[in-house]
Amino acid sequence: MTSFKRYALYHAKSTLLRGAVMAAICLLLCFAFLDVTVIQENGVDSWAYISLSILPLILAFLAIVMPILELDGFKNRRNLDTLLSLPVSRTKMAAAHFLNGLVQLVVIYSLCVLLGLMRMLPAAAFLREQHLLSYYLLTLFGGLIVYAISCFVLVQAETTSDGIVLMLLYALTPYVLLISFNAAWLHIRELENVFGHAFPFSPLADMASLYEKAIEAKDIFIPNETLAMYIFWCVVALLAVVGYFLTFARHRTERVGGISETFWGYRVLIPLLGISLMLPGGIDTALAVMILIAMTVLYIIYRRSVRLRRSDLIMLAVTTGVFLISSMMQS
Amino acid sequence: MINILSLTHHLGGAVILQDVNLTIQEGSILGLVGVNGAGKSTLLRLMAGVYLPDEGRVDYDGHTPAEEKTREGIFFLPDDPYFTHNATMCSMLQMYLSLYPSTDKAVYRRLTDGFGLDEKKPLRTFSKGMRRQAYIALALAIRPRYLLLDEAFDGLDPLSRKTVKGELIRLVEETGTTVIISSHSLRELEDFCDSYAIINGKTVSSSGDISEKTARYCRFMLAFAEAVPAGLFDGLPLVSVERSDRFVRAVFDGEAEEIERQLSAFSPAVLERLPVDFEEAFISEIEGGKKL
Repeated sequence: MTSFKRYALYHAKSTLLRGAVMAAICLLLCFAFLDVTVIQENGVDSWAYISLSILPLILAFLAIVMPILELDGFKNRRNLDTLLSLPVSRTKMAAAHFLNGLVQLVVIYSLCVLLGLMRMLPAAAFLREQHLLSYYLLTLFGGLIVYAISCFVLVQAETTSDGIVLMLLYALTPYVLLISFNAAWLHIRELENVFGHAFPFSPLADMASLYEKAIEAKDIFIPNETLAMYIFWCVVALLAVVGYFLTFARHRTERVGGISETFWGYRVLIPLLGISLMLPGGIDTALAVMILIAMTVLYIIYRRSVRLRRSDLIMLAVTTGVFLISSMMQS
Repeated sequence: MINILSLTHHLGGAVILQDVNLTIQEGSILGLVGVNGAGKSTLLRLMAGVYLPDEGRVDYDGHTPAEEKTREGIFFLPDDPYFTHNATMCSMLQMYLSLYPSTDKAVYRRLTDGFGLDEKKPLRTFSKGMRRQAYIALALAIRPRYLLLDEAFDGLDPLSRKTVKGELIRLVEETGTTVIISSHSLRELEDFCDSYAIINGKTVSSSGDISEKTARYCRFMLAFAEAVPAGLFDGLPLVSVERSDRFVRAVFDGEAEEIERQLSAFSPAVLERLPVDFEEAFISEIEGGKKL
């Protein structure tokens, strides 16, 4: 047996109980919130109403929580002494944790969808449950996009709490960036619809919403912008997977637990978000002040101190400058 | 054989180790010593592949510790090993059994029984010393080709220390394992290490055979009827000195007979030559800033 198999098997066994607990919680939530109701008219079963919204919520939850659980052990310096001296290469270790979380996510979500199918069976006459397969596959893929991005973001951070903050920033950045870019330079109204799907959760939410209607035997139409953003996020997820493995293999262990200094972390995201929000111009001063306060709070979280560095202050000044210039140009 | 070549490592802009060069012979037991913060643990982590060096390399017969094949032969026991909340010796053994096929259950059993450890109890319920015993039992059972131990004796009672020293010697004799052990207890190291490396000034300031190096030093105790004469040590290779009104204890780095002859010229009431142990040699080097 190869070292990867040995390690992956050991890791899978040691996280089995955790997976079982997660599955039990998710199935209970599904059981409680998944709604399939047959509506009677004149005493006769006439149509069925379904609400599957708990399924994408569970999937999104798993896609965020699983990477945290899988990678939390690598945010503890003591743990790393043991883990990284084991006879398993860093890449294989990264793969074992990535795959273990992914398998648990797929299994738990599949069980939830299966429970959904069982709940649908009494209303089968009014539903097109064959669309459940498309629903399952497309939402699952949407969930995997979030999972891949979460894994990438978490390896950028030196602590799990920093990872969670960065996940939030990563969720907002593409939307803010694209909307601001359009508002500042392109001015194409149609693009606002496209960029409205620029959240990592969009592919999952969009497909869940569309195919829920399909299961309810309603006609559906997949807009081009939904499809375009689905493909866009698939490409982002692939890049995130590559970034995850590269960062994991080259990561400096001694920085774990310290300030998250990686390039694709706070260093870039805080000014990028702040400047993007200021760029279109026309925002009022109160909002600009709130953006600057939010940036300052994020810098304090980043530095874990109210003593900001000169580079942080420069970025705050640049953001203020961008606001002033864009406001003047607007007027 | 382990070759450490021009190894340099930084942390947050500060240099932790600079241009470290060291050769460790196969089957030797090397004591790694240095003051707190000297970089012993960093060096062991670099040797175990936990840290990636900024410059230079650690070479195990032509292979780096980043290579999986190399790490199959290395076991690193950090000074404060991590264990999960419910980890027991049994569960730790299962992990190591799956990753180190060379693990010898009989050795594990012998040591566990010898230390009187309950392998089914969670490690968190063990005292610091018991946890140390547990990890040492696991480390020795793995029978690695290279065993890296960071502060291995920390928290162990004298009886356990004796057992561990005996077991390490036995491991080296039976399997030819190379042991690198860091410790602040230099007298302990002197008992069973055949070689040493001192980290001082961010680099390995000296290394070699312990007995050869301590033999280079000599210590004299002198007592005078009157005050200690001026110019007593002029021209002598003095390393360190403790003095009171009429008494002097001094360590020299040089030929003992010649030094004794020169000291006799001052007609001390007492002139006695004393042996120098490894700890005194280490202190002399660190305080005197001289090479051993």
